[in-house]
Amino acid sequence: MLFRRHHARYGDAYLLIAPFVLLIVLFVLIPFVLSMVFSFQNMTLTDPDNIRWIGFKNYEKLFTDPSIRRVLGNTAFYVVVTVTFEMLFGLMVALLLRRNFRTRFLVLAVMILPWALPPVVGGVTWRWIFHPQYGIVNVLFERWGWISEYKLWTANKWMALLLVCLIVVWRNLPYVSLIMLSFLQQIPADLYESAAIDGAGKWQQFRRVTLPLLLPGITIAISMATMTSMNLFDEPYIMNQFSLDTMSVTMKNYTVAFRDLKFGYGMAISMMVTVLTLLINFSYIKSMYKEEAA
Amino acid sequence: MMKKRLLGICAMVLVLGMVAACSGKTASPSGSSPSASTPASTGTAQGSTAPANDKPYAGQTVKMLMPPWYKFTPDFFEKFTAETGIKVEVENMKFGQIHDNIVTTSAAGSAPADIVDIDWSWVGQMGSAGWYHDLTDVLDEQIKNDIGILNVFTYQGRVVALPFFNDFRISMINADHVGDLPVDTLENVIDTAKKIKASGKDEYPIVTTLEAGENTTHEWILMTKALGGEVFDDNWNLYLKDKNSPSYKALSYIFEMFNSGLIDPRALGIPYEEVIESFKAGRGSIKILAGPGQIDEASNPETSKIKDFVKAILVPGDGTHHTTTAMPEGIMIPARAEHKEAAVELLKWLASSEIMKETFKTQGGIFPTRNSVIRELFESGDLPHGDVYAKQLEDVEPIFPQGQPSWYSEFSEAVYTAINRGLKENWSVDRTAELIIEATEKIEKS
Amino acid sequence: MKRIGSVGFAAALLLLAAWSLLPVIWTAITSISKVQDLTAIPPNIFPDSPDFSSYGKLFGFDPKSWDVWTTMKQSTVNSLIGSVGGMVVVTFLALLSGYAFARVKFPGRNLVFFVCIATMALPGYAVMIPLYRLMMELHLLNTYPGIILIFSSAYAPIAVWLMRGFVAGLPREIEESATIDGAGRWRILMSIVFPLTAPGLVAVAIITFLGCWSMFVTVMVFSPSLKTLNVFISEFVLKTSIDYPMMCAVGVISMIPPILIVAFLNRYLISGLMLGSIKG
Repeated sequence: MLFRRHHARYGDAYLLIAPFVLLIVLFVLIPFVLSMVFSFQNMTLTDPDNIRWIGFKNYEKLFTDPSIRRVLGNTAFYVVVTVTFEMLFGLMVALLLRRNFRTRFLVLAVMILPWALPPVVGGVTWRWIFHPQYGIVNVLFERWGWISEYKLWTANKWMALLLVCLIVVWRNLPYVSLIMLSFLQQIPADLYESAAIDGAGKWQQFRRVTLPLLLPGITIAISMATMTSMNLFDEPYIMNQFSLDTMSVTMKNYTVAFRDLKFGYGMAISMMVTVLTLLINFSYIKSMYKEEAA
Repeated sequence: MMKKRLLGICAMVLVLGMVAACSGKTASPSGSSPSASTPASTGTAQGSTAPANDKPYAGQTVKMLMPPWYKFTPDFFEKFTAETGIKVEVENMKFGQIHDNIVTTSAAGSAPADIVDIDWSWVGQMGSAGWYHDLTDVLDEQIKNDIGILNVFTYQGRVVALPFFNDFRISMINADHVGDLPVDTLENVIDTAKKIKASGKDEYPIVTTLEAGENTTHEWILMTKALGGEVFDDNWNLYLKDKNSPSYKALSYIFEMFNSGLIDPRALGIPYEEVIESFKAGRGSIKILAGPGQIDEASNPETSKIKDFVKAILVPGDGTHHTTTAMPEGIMIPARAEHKEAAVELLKWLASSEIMKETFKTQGGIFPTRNSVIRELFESGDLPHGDVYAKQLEDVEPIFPQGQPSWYSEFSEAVYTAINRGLKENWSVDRTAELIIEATEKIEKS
Repeated sequence: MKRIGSVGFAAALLLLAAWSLLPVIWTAITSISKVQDLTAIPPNIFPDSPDFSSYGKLFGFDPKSWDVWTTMKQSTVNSLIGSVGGMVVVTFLALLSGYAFARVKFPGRNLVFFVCIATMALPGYAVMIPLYRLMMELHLLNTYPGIILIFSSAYAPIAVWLMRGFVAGLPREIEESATIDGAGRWRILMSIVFPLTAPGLVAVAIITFLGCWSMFVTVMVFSPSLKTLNVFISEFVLKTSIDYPMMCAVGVISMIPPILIVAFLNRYLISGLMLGSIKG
């Protein structure tokens, strides 16, 4: 009877996860594995009779193609800058909103707007705001005397990269803040009280009470933020079209696969992105949990 | 007990899912298509009761995938449906996405529609990938000879698409700013622009985009052609290497215009579709890379401040040449289209003279590709700026007389990236030319 | 308790509100401007005579633009069906799977979980072509079920990740006493776990809805005939010009359903995520 119970329990679990796993396997994993095969072929659609296995040649190309280094550099910049600011501001916003003051619901509804606005619209609006001829930034800065004439903000490479980061941070901040806010609200008030009784100051309370209990939230938030920033497309494209200054690795993937029809190479790029993303996330999760144990 | 219930629910969900999938299929395109420009299919009841022998494809529906500037009205296809019993459904999609859809669907062994609009620059890809239905024997000689730019849409001698939208390039000016100053050669254009700038009438007389995008490449190519030159020689070597070549000169003109302050420095970041707005608002005097569509737009009484002053002029060249080129669009039947024969009927119908005229006059101003049609429109006075257009059309050449390279997009990217960067970072013409040459040589031209 | 720096606090709130709102307000202003106002130099911040014609066209008041209203209606319906459908499917899956992953130590649990969650790291282009083939074979192209399934496969992982955390945070005693009383897995799930995690489920529902609402490339590839609002917006990029006021008008309208959803379910959202994740 014990054996039957045991077995029945597992059977239930498999049934419960079956639809989910089936969905992922069918619509994501299988197509992915099939695509992965392309990365080992010289699959260039403009040369359809010549498709053959070429082993790791596409991957070798990743190391020799200078534009890959460039876009990886850009993407690294995006990830580092956006994730840092999103986490920093996200935490500040979460701390700001943790107490249920009277108008909090209103502030929350407003705060969520950047995340609710469809990226297509948001991107166009931001481009218009920084428009070299009609943008409001130019209008106001000139009126206030900060600049002498209207500027093309994307002319300077670093300015362009920072601009993209600004838009991305604007869009993703609500998501990150909310995740951390929810964790903050978990922490019972009496923990702070006992810490205060022990003589801990504000900063020490933060370090010893808040931070450890916030850690899981930070992990999830930072993972999601990183994944989003690794996969940027809309924002750099809308602000600076296909300029190499701001091209992200996803954009490169797109031009290689859909413009030049080099699907083999394109898939190798996708694989590279996937592996990098997983590695980065893995290292966060590992280090966070190490800290938690300590 | 609980397992049974769970199984039951899963089974129900699966069944529901399958039912939904099947009903979903019938709910999609044919009958209740949400695409607004398709009432043709619901409007025509008369075609379906005719005798079947002269309407072999009656009852079928041909699906067209077109960019938003084709504005087919509901009654446009009624005559076709009455004659053949074939219904037509038009789906509008953003131009760039049409290309991506062709790629995705064709690579997966399918087709995006029965008829799809393609850009001249995609012909090389469509051809080499084999994604087109060969039209060489479908179109009669009379039509083929009547279309001047037919070879732009051929790949290794086979016709890939029917040239449909003759988007040839021609220049335009704001006559109010330019007055009587000469604009017939590029040298004169630069001089005139300098004079206009000096007089204070216009700060940036030459209107263009120099963004990191396709149209920057077009600007350079057009100027090369206008100066009587070519981009590549017959062995696909760049003429740019020769400093006396027209293509080198064209590049140096661009740099001269930019560095003399004749072009707005912010043009490095303004997309092509937006540049016209400046011009319409009265800023700018000369636009070299323009076309009938833009000229219409600039003359639009509702949105343009300069509607009375827009004049079409022949593309300025070197005095002896006014050669222009075209960036036309064609309609292609994909290789795996579902209703190929019916689509062929529709294609032939669209290629006929009366229908081409109609398309131009009432369905979005699509400039016709048949020379006879252009002549007829000119003679009947239906062509605005008719005399200039007619003259310009005598001197239109394909961008690549050697044929469409399948690697055009890589080449274009090399060019616009280099020009955009060279201007942004203040390089010399030589350095920019070197970068273009270097990047082009790296392309695998199979 | 002392109200520390209430002026500073208020200032910080205002800053947050302004930062979030300004581009949105700018979108709204653009939607009621005429193109000439936008391109005038120096540009007017607010148009002298607001022009609601874009909204007129969108809602069928302009006889010349008859097709805009039809497409607008259909796009809105499509967006709603897609997003609500995705929301329902994902929430359902997340409840079931989250519970199983959290409570049952079945063999392969960690591996399966990790692999499914890791799919979030895959770029969309990596799966597009084989997925298109698959959808074609299943006759799911240009269908509502097809698009709902693809949306679901995109948002189910994060939903399951969160739900697992929520369920793991529930005190085990309630479930254990129910088991002792003879309740089966299903009964526990429906009558205990579901009510207790309802706020968390609402959080998952909102996140999924907002995500599906903003999908663009997926719709263009897998259901070009069933246009959503996002796709409709992109059609205002013509060959020679961009109709900014129209784009922004549709943009403003397409913000309304998400705002409504968030506004009404706001309180559940907060307590939901709050309940959310002691374990993460």
